[in-house]
Amino acid sequence: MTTLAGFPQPTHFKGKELPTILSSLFLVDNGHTLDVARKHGAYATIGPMLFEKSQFELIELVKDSGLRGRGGAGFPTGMKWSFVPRNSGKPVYLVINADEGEPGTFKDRLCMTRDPHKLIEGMIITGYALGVRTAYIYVRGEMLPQIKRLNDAIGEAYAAGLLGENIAGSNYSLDIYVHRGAGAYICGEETGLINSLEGYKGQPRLKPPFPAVSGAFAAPTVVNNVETIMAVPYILQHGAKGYRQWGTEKSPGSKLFSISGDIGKPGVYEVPLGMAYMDFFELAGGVKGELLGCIPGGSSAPVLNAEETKKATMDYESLASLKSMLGSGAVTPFNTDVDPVLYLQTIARFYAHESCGQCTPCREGTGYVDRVLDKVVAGKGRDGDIDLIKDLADSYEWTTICAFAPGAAWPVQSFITKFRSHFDKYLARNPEHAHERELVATRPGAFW
Amino acid sequence: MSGCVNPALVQPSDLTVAGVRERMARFQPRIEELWRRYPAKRAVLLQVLWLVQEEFSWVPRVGIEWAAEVSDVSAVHAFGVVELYTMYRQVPVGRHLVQICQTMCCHQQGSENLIEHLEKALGVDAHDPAHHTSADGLFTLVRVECLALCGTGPGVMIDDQAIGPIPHPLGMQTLNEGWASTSEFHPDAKLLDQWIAFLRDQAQRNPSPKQEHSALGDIVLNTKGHPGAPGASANVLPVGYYPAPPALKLSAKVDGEAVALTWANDGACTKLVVERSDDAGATWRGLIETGPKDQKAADRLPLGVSAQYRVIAHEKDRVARPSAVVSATGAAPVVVAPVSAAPAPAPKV
Amino acid sequence: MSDLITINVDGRDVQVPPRVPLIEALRQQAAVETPAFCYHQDLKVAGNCRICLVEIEGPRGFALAISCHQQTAPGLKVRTQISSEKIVKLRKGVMEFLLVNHPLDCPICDKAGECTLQEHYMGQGRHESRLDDAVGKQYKGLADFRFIDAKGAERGGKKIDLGPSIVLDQERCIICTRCVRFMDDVAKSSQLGVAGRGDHAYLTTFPGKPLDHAYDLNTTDICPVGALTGKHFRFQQRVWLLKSVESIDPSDALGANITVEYNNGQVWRLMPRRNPDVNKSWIANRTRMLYQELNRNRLTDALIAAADATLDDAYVAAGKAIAEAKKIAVVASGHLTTEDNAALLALTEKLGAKAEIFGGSWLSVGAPDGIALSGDPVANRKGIELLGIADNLEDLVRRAGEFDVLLVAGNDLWAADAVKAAALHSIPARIALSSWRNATTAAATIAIGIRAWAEVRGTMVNRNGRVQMLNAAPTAPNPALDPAWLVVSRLSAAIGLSLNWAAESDAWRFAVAKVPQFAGVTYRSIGPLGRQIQNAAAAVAAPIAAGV
Repeated sequence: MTTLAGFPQPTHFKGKELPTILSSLFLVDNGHTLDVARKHGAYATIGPMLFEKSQFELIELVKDSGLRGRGGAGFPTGMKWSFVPRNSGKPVYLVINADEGEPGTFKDRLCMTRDPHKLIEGMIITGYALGVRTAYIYVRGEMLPQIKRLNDAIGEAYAAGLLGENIAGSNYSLDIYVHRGAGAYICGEETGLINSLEGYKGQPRLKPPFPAVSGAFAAPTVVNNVETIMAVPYILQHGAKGYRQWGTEKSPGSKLFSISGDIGKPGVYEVPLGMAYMDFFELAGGVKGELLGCIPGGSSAPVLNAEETKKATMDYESLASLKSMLGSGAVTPFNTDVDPVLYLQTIARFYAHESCGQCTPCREGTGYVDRVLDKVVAGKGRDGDIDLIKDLADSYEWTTICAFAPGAAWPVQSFITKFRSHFDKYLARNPEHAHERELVATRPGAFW
Repeated sequence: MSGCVNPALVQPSDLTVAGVRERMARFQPRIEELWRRYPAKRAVLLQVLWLVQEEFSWVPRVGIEWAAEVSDVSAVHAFGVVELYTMYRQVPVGRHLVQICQTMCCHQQGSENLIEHLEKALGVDAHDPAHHTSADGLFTLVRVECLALCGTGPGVMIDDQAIGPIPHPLGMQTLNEGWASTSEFHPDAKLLDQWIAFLRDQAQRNPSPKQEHSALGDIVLNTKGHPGAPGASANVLPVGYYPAPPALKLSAKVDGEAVALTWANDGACTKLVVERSDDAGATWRGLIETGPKDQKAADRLPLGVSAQYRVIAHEKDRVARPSAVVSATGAAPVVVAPVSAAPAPAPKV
Repeated sequence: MSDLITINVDGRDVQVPPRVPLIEALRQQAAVETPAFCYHQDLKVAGNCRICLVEIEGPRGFALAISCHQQTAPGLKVRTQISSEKIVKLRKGVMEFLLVNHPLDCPICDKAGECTLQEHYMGQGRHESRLDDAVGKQYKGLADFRFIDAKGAERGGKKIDLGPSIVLDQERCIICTRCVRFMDDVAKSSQLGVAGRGDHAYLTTFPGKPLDHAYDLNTTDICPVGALTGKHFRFQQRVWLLKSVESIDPSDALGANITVEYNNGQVWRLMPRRNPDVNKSWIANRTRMLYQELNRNRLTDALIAAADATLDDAYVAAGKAIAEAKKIAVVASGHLTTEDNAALLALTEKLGAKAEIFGGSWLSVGAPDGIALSGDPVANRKGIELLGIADNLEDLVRRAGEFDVLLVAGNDLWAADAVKAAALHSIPARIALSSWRNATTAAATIAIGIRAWAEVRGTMVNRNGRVQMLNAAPTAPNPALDPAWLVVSRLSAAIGLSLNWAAESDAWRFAVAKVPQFAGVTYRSIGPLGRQIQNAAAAVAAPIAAGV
């Protein structure tokens, strides 16, 4: 039997059943086809269950369920929906953020591969709740096979009358289009994504106005992550209470966690929020070697050291109390064989490469940090360089348009704070580390 | 900084915009489909650039100009777009593009070793856009940032596929991620060698392959489009396609004889009617009418008397289904300590 | 004004207009110096330089915001660098980032002295550099423009020929996108863009295409650093040596506001001067290049019968011709100031039945471009119209035989329409007052040099009915040259009908007496931004100046 590399999850853990709100079809052969998906209950909500409800009820339902955005920021989904002005005279757009690019995250890729129909079903419900006529799925450019799979699924849904005009005999019409991105992490940012959808460079927009009021094509727009929307059919079917049977009071429901790094069985797992990280590691085959630290929610999330990891649970509040975040649910434990300095170096390079180049602090700061760090790694660091990097990160943390800069600053700040001794070792490799900085201007040829 | 697949190299210059236009003619149905999908023509820019890349396997400058024309934007805007996104290639690449992720988990799992190995095997330099294509023109090796393949890292993609094990039970062109035979799948040098050999072998057998995929993933054609877009035939949503929104979360609080009713309702309501039943719901009589912004009402029930309440929301001439029913029973007045903690008196009806 | 609102800046209540960018309120009403690079009054807000950061009180305490994007609203509480250490520190941080990849070449930079980056750096920068030799600028522009600097590092283009009028220094650019927004939103011709990303981002045109627009030189003004420089001014003068006077565009009836910048008796450049009601911050390249004419082909003395003569001889000859004349045709000019035309009018009146005044122009009138040109090349057409001088050059042509002296001032009739002007050859004495040697001075029997527009003080009335001032820069090629009104005044004295005018204001007073709309208008009340004397909407159908 072939097991699924991306989804090695057992049905039970420590005697308790694991939720399958999002992953119900992940292990079903051909679960991505309409026939098979329908046999397993897909589109059960697209009928009286949906069409007898008003927009207001649906939004209240999602509010009550406590569903929070799964893309990274964890904003309450129902509240986001309620910000959309109704009857503004402009169309309302739903844009699905499938620009999965946060290092460590690979859950949306699996979702789109294995269960595109759940996403479409969630989009129909969301679209109905918000008055959306045209919805877009913005998929990361690298994921062409997933784009094809989504397009195939959309084609099947059109043929079955589940998309297009008068869906399932109702008054509601919805078209879904897949928009292929072209390789830019910043397009995962809500307004960057909207700009990219509109044919601009994917540079985030100034806020306000917020997308809920003026987003894509200057019309009210809701941008939700793939995983967020895939939870919506379950909520409609089982009610807010049904959803809240999983998770904690403030972080209800289940979430897909992508785990990679020094772990026995890397992959995507659906677990209830609030599970202890150490339990999760056990579920995922155990940490290889001795745990040194863990990035709890994608590369932007401040790193936790081993002690903090042992205390942390997988929900928004626990991580906030540890000054980190759940982010996109990418868990990356690493063991004592890993050099945190090199780890941070790849992260710093990533952010320097992905900065869109719009705001000064992020544009210049991420590159600057990257270069100083490269110098330190090359054994040419001087005393004060580590503090310089930290100070630079502090300088760009909150001074830009979007949340990219804080996301780039947090790993720098947290790695330096928590693994300082590793950095100092690199400085010691430079025999001249205590020398004063040579003033460039005193050398001939400084002006050219 | 590395990993940039947009090197600033001089491009082959024998192409013209007219030449591009001619070669792109076969894409016309897809372009028209794209125009239909967005309220503004400029939104098709990224997609049209993909079509250019599908045709040429890279994006020549004249192709950018053509795409700008099609999308009704300025050429320099389109150029800026091409330069921002790393996947548009501005120089010709080999027949197969090998991308290896160098970020975080993949770095930890040895992507540097893989890159080094491939650089040697192919005789290329992944850092240098001038020398990242193998001499036989078959392979171009680039370093990229996170490919969302962290679990089965180091992430390696060949063309548009994340690589899987070889020989593959389902053939190369199938969607192989998630189908690795074990969750322990991690690309290594040996596997890459196998892939390179496999692709070399394929190239020998079939020197000029037919384009096997669409850069837009086989988009659904002939949809009705976005209402109002060029060529679209879709209609806007009818007003009130959903039923009138009922009041929700009705609750009754009894304080002595005073009953305070609260609920939530949609701002789109025009009025709400609070109804009371004294016979366990058999008959209802209107109690109060309120505006859409009042989300409370009050009633009085003598000691021991029970009543049911429900709220019916109206949205202009549409009537929503009644809210859930709540019951209340009049109780003896609660003796509260005077001073500050006294609850606010129920509003007068 | 009653519609002011109160905001609190650093604990101090300030009255400001509602819904304006906070940065404007800070700068103007609160008098808090607030730096900005990307913000420009007449462009859309981009909010990318981040130097104008302030703290704004919100629901969760004070939070960072940029003052260019924040609108003023009642009760807004703001902390600036004055009361917030955090702002001081973060702005220093932004300044450091701006300078990381900016070259230290102020000594050879044309912008030095008027460079926003330099100013703010001196104001509040991090004076101690933390930059390391080994971590220099990592700049890659287009392949064709890369070069290796003295440190052996690969750098962007230092001198990229962007088009007919502008040179780009890619590594000075701080990607504020002012120029991009100008081209997109004001010039409405997207020729510039930012390509690349991160600190590889660079300003460029579409590869191989020029920046070529009738207004493109405005990008060099709004460039906050020396990245875009006009070819005409590169390495000409250090800007701190230039002195300036306020003037207006004399070549167009919109009268775009400019400054005339001069040094050593020479005008080096014309710069746009912001007037929100006329030309915003923009002038056409054509206007900007007018200064080059000031040193070219000037009539620095006089001509009698096409031969060089001294000014004094010419005054005598002209006086004699007028004194002996039976009937004189005086031709006023919309290219001259109201004062000059007032003098011509006054002379005509003094001469009584012996003289008749004509006005108008044969130059063709185009359409307004919505930015800083009205399309009418006769700058003071409205002024002579108000003086009551009719547009009747055709009359003059028809009745040329009635006259024996023609006095034409600043109106190149022979260049405008040589065929029609040929009829004027029948007038035996043709006196021309002109700043330049041109077809009319060639056709004249007596040509007297006068000062050009940049060298005189006076007024013009633009086509929207706005009186605007020209001021004199001390750059006349021959100090003995006089403005036209003074020459006319001299001629009147020579024939015993002295106007007795000693200053421009005498001429202006004459005009005020003639024109009811000028009543109460003095040079002082005109001020640097001009004064509307007619309802603009009623005066003209064409838009004033557009922008964003």
